Amino acid sequence: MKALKITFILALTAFYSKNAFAQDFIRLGVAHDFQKSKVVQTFSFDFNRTEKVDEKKGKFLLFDKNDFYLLPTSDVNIGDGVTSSENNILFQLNLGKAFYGKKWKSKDNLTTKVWNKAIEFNPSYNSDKLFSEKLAYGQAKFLLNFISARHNGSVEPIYVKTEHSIATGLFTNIGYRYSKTYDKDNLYSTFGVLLDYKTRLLNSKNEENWVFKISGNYYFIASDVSQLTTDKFGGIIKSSIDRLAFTKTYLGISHKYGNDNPSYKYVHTLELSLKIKY
Amino acid sequence: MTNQEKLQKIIAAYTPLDYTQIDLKRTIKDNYIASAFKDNFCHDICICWRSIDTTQLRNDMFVKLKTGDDILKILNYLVL
Repeated sequence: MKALKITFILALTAFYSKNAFAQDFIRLGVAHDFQKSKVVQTFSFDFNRTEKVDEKKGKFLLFDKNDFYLLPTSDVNIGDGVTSSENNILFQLNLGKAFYGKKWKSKDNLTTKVWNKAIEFNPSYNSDKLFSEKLAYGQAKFLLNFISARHNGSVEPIYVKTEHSIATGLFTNIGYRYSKTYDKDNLYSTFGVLLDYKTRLLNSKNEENWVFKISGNYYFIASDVSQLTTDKFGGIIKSSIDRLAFTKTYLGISHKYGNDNPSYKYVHTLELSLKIKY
Repeated sequence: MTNQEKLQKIIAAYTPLDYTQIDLKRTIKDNYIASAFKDNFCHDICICWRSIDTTQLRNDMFVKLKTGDDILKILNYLVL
């Protein structure tokens, strides 16, 4: 029954995201798990999935008119490396309104900057891979995004040299939790802040040479099944550095610390990995 | 102002180049518009040409549309 459910969800994911191409990659790695102090192998691949809105809005939209948008996202992590990922299943429908800011340039005309804002309401479903913790909730979110790109020169051929993107925002989740583990249900309610920072340094062939990323969230748990956690606050911070080694091949190091929904399981890992984009 | 000039001006707003230097045959990649700006770019196009199907433009922008000429083809189809 569980296998059936998982297959169904995988099929649904593949169906929903067949239109996004660029994110596909395979990642092979070795991670040190500080929580259990042991070394684990990691292997992950990204399906043709739509990106999460905090990663980058866009790609595949169901609807877009007057900056109102509808974006289905799905995120399925069901590897064996339980400790190196949050290992959960998330489906979200992002209903949002974007407010695009006015661009402005620096005095030397080489840097373009903009502030964008968005408000979203996202009906969401979140569970662990065995469906023993289930969450169904509505998420309200306010996002503020600053993007800046610097070019190499003012004569052809021009290239983007560096690009920074900082997204930060407030969110609140209100919904319902069913916990099979404790055979209990409860009101699920949290509110907090999120952060997403990315810097890309490009080389003269216009490929990403270095990619730095920090993302995370921190939230107050207002109401949940009390046996699950004694913490008042939850959150996770992930940081990573990727360096282009050969064509389409990146060497990376990443660090994760914190806990995440649905089961507030602590994760603390340092991972060294090889990532191949295809 | 022709559609071509309008589009050149929109693209030029993201680059240090003068709009006359914008070659619409060139692929719109990071060298013209940083990928993070593509949402704003779509928005600018949609503001300029109200009759365009914005959902389709956005989805095409990230998958099929490669050059400025591709965008002009849609425009010509709509306007003519």
